[in-house]
Amino acid sequence: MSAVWSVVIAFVCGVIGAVLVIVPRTTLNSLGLGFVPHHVLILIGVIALIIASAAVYNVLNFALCKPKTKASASVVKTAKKAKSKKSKKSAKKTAKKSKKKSSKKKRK
Amino acid sequence: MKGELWKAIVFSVIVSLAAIGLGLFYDISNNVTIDICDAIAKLLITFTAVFVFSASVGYGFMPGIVTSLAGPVGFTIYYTLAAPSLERSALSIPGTILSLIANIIILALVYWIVRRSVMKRGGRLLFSAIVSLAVLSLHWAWLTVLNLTGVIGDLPLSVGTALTTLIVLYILTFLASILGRSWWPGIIGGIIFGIAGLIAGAAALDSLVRVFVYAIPYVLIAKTLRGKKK
Repeated sequence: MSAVWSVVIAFVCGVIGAVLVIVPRTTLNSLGLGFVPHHVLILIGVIALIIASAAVYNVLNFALCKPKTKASASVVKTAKKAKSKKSKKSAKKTAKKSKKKSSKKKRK
Repeated sequence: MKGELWKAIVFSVIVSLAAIGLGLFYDISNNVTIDICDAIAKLLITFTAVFVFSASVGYGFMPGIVTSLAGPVGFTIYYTLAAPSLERSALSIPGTILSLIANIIILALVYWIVRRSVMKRGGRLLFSAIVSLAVLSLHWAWLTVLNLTGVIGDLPLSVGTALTTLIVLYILTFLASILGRSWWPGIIGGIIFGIAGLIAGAAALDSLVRVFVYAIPYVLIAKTLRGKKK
C-alpha cells in the first residue's frame, strides 16, 4: 500500500470512526442512522478507528523508517557493488597513470 | 500476494480465537457473565486489529505490540460506550482497566507464541497449546449455541471444566502431532474428539460438529502457518 493511500484511508476511516464513536446518539438519529442499533454503530466506529490506526502506523513507517523490503535491499546491494567496482577501477586507473608518469620521468 | 493475504487471514483467525480462549479463563475466574454477543464483538475487533496490521504492516515485534494494544483498547471502548444499550450490571471501571491490561498481555502472549514458536520453529508443545486454545473457544461457542437453542440446559462453564477440556484437547493435539507434521492428523484428532463426545452422551449431529470444531483450527495452523522444524 502506498503512502498516499495510507493517508487517505487514515483520514476517511478516522473521521467515520470518530463520528460514530464520539457523536451523541440523538445527533446520529437526526442524521438518519436511527434504524441501526447503538452498539452496532459503536462497533463499526471502533473497527474504523482500528483501520485508521493501522494506516497511521503505515504512514509513520513510510516517513520515519528506512526501507527494509527485499527489493530495496537488493537495490542497495547492487548500488554498493557498483560503487565498489567503480572505486576499484578508478584506483587501478590512477595507479596505472602514476606508473606511466614515473616511467616517463625515469626515461627523461 | 494472494498467499500472503490468506496467511494473514489464517494468522488473524487463529490468534484471535486463541486469545479469546485464554481470556475465557480470566473472565470465568472473575465471575464475569460471558455473553455470546460480547464474545462475537470481541472476536470481530481482535480479528480486525490483527488482520489489518499483519496484512498492511507485516509481522514482527513492533506490529505485535501495536496490535496487542489496539485490539483490547478497541474492545474496551466498545464495551464502555455501548454499555447503556447492552445492560451490563456487572461493569465497573477498575474491572474494565484490569481486564484491559489482562487482555493486552494475553493478546501479546498469543501473538508472540504464534509468530515465534509456531510460524518460525514449528515446535510441538506450543503448537498444541495454540490449537487447543483455539478449539476451546470454538467448542465454547458451539456449547453456547446449543444452550441458546435449548439442547443443553445449563452451560457447564467453570474454571475446572474449562481447564479439564483444555488439558484433554492439549493431550489429543500433542498425540495427533506425533503422527506427522501434515494436516491429516487434525482430521483423525477431530474424529476422536467427536467419538468422545458421542460416548459422553452427545447427539450424532453434535458429535459431527465437534469433529469440525477440532479439525478446522488444526488443519488451518498445520497447513498454512506451521513452520519447518529447526
